[in-house]
Amino acid sequence: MSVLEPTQPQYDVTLLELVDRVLNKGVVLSGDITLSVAGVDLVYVGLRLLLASAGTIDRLREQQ
Amino acid sequence: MAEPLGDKLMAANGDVDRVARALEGLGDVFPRRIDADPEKVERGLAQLVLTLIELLRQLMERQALRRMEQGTLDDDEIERLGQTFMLLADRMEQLKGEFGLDDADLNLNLGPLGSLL
Amino acid sequence: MIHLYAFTPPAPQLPDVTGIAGARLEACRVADVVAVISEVDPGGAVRDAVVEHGLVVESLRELAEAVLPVRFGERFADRRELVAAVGDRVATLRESLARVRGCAEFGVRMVSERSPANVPAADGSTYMRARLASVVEADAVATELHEPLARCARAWDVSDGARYAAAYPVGEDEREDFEQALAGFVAAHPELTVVCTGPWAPYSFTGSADG
Repeated sequence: MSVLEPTQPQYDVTLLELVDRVLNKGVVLSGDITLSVAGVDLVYVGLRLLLASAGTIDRLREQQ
Repeated sequence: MAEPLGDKLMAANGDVDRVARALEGLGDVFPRRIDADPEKVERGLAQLVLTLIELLRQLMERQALRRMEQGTLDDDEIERLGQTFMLLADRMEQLKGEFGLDDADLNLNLGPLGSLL
Repeated sequence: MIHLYAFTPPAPQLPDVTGIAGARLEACRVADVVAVISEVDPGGAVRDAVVEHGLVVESLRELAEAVLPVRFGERFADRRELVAAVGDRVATLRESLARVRGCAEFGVRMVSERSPANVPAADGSTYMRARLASVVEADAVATELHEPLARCARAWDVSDGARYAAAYPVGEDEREDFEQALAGFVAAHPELTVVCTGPWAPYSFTGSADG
């Protein structure tokens, strides 16, 4: 099984496509979703999301 | 179980990195961490302002080109519009230079507006 | 708090994965649809949660007959509030589920060599003609990519922007044709950058006003 490194563009693109869908598409029940669900955790998500979530992906893979 | 995203890339031809970079702006939908560093604040503001200006410039240009295609612009209007867009593009390059920003920096996600760029 | 991931038809087989921050996934029946949920800590880290949400939805897609992804951020104090929010939309949700049954979404993006905006031109008219020519050519290439793909899909969602980005819901029996159509275009245009990702849950075809 090949291990995708976070720096590989292929990994970037699929993760970005996932995040794009999760954040911008899908059913909306409330008229106006605001990301105040994050509470005071105001974060700049961009490349940092990828780097942070690479850890999540690895952790999830290990669990399975 | 298979690697979660490992089989999600169906086809990729060419400079995949460019697509990845283009998508990166989508993260900006999250509120920014309040950073008091004045230099960063100014640069962030410049980034936002120039992104908006560039968006408007491209939208206006596309609109003008559509009308040109439809034949609803006369030669004089085409000439003047062309001059204006060239001037705006030059000015944009100047401003980008002044703030040390390149095309990749003007890739902020503007929510529903973002897909227009 | 309750975090909502997606809707499915009744009695779905829940995947053997955990939700955000390792929480257990639950199926909450609302009339004749099921809301897939888990408990979340409202103050939890958002970044990882976004990815975990997406991975849950994809696991659901693999097991459930149909899945309607919910946008990240739908959260409720309790089940009563969730049911109230779903409200009278159950019929619409059921119809949407029926529409996407057996379909997976494929996303296609294409980037062409962008002609520089500041094309050196002698005058305004020359500049406009050059820009028009490049836009017309880009439109033609986009059509060449889109039409064969659309023929293999149940619907399409193409962005109106300068960069080509589209999503197609493709049925199981059409997937091979879809892949072949894409491969054909890519082979004919080695100079273009084309990226296709999927299969995804049908995020772009949930029938939401925003989606």
